[in-house]
Amino acid sequence: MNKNSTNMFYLGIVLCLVCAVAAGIMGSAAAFTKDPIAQAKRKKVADGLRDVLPAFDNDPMKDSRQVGDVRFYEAKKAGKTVGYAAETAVASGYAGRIEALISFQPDGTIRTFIITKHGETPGLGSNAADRVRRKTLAGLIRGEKEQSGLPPNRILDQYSGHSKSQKDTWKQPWKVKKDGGDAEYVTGATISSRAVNELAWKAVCAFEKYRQGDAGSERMKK
Amino acid sequence: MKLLKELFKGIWKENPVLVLSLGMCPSLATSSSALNGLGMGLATTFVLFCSNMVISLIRNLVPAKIRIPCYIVVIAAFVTVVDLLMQAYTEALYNALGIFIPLIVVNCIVLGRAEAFASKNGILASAMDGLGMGLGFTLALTVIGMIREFLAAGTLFQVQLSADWEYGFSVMGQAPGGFIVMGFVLAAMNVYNRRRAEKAGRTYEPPQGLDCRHCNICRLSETSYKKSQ
Repeated sequence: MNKNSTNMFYLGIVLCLVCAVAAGIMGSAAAFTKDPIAQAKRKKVADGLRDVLPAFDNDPMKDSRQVGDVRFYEAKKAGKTVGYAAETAVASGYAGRIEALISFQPDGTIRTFIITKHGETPGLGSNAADRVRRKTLAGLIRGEKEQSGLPPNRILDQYSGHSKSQKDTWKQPWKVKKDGGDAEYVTGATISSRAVNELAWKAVCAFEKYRQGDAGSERMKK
Repeated sequence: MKLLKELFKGIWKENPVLVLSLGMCPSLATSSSALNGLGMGLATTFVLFCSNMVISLIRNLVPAKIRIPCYIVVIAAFVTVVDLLMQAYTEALYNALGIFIPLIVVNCIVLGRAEAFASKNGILASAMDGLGMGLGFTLALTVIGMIREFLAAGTLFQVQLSADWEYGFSVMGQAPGGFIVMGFVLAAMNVYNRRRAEKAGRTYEPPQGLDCRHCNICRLSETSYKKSQ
C-alpha cells in the first residue's frame, strides 16, 4: 500500500477495509459470546434470588411472570409458597439506571431489598445502594471471620416489613422525608435515595397487581 | 536490555499520568478508591499491550493521512472484544471493572502511545512500551486512589484502618478531590525530579513524550508528520 497517498478515493477504501475487518472481528466475538453472556446473566439473577428469598426447592426462574416491566419469581418449598421476588429497574438514579431485586413475604410485606446494578457516586450515592460489610484492620489482624448473610444497609433495610396495605404506617405513595414522606435518605445523595424509594414503591404497586392477577388466574382454573 | 528500558521508562521516568500528564480524565474519574484505580489500571494495561502490538504490526500498511481513525478503530475493537469476553467468562471481574472498560477507548494514553511509539517501533518494543506505560498508569492510579480513599473514608482497599473512624472528608472521593490530590502528587513528583537533577548538576527537563509541547496529533498535515518522524 502507498503510505503517503493523498488520493481521497484510495484513503476511503483503506479506511473502509480497516473498519470492515474490525466489524467482522467484533461481530464474531459478539456471536461467540452471546450464549455465555446470557448464561452468566441468568446465573446472576439466580444468585440474587438465593440471597433475597428464604430456602426454596423449586426453580423460581421457571415460576416467573411479568407485570408491566417488573418480573416476579415465586419461591416454593414442598409445594408451599414461601416468598416472591420482584426484579425491577428505574432510570432515575444519579447515574441513570438502577436495577434491584426485592423479595416479599407471602403476606405481602417486603422481606429483603438488594440493588443488583447501579452507577451511583462511590462513597455518596452508593451508600444508599451497596450492602458492604466494613472490614477493619484490627479485625483482619485478629483474624475475625466474615459473617455470613447479607450485610446491612440502613436505607435498604428500612423498607423491610412495609407493604401497600392500608394498615401500613407509611404515607402512600412512599416518599423520602425530604419530600414529605417517611423514608430515610442519605444526606447529599437525595437523588439516589429517591430512586431507591421509587424502586420499592414500584415493586409494591406491581406486587399488588401480580397478586390480583394470581387470584384471577386461580379463579379461572376453578 | 533495550526492551527492559522500554518497559521501565513507563513506570517511573515517563509515567503517563504523573510525568506526561496523559489520560487525565479517566485518572480523575476512577481513582476514587484504591481498588477502582487498580482495576482500571490493569484493564487499561491489557488493552494498551494488545493495541500497541497490533498497531505496530499494521504501521507500514495504513496511509499516514488516515492513521488516527485506523488506530481508533483498532483500539475500539479491542475494547469491545475484551468487554464481551469479560462479560461471558469472568463475571466477578466484570462486575468489578465493567463500568471502566468502555472508558478505555477514550483514554488518551492508548491513542497517545499508538501515535508516539507503536507507529514508529517494532512489535516487541511496542509491546514492552504498552506494558510499561500500563503499569505506570496502574501505579499512579492506585497511589492517588489510596490517598483519596483514605482521606474520604479512612479506609485502604476497603479495609478500615481505625475501628471508630466516623468523619469522612467526602469531597476527596469526588471529582474536586481528584483534582486536588492529583495536583499535589504532580507537584511532589516534579519537586523530586528537579531536586535529583540539581544534585546531579543538570537542569530538569520533562522527557519528550506526547505532552502538549511535542504532540502532533492535532497537526494532521503530512509535513509535520514527516518531520516528527
